[in-house]
Amino acid sequence: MPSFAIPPKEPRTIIIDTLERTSAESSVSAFRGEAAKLRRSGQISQYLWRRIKMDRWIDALPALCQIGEGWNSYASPPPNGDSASRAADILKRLNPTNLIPDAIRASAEGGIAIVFTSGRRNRAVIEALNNGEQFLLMYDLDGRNQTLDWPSNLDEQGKILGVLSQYLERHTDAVGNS
Amino acid sequence: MPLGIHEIDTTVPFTPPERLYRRISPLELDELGEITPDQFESISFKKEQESAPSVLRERFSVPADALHRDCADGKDFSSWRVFAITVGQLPTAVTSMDGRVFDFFPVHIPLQVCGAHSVISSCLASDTARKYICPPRNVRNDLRTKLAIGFRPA
Repeated sequence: MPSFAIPPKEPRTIIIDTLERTSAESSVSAFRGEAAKLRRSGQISQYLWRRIKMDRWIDALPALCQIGEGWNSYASPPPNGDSASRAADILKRLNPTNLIPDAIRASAEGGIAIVFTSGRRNRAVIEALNNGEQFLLMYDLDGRNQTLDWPSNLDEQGKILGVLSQYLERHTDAVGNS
Repeated sequence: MPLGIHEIDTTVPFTPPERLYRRISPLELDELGEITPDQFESISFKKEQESAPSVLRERFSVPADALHRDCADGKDFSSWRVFAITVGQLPTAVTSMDGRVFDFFPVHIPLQVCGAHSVISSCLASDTARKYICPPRNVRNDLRTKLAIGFRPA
């Protein structure tokens, strides 16, 4: 009976994670293209894929703060460092969930908007505003909508994210009726 | 060329079918060129009525005026699009979390070189004097989602 077995290859996920944490920005950018290919071929985990995407959104936040006063032609202020920092915290809270934003935008009220869509008619946005206000808006394409405050308590945040996940995945209207 | 402040009559009342024009960034449009609420981020309110969302009233303007420098603080927005909603489509009877009921309505506030300039104001539905009150968060969000759905290319 053979006593030697070919050692398993080092999982690509570890390589990806290491590179993500240690590489220069340009190589990280190039590597993300590679990661996308691996994801398509099923060679990296869903979890790591989410991490990569989330890090990409977090990396993009400082650039959003540079868009300038009146970026939307209606005198809206750009996001400030506080709203970007709180938006980054919210994005980190998404890591253990199945929620991945579809876009990160500046909010007309000054701040960051984290946008979620679904294959159905339900949509949502979490906004972290320059004035410290944070909220979740859930709405559908018929105009039904519900606004919930984004809590500071981590447990409460988890509950809100559960509601959001359910809202985007199921055919539930904005006031919670199926 | 937009009409100036001396070429318009602010006593002309708004009627439900009158259209209100607003310029929209290409970034707020989907691949079909339509506004979707998740991309519609340009609505904001402040304490003063003058800072409520700006529109141009159809009675004294054409859609292209919304892109003209005179109605855009002298800036070039020629690559943007103009969308319209009718006065009758503005949301009414929106209940806030503390139980107050709000209406949205247009107010004509002409600017020197942009006489059709108006804002989408808000007040308590019970207030016959229609005194401006900055709408609370959930009421603002209701307007935002309904405007995004109601706005159509002008």
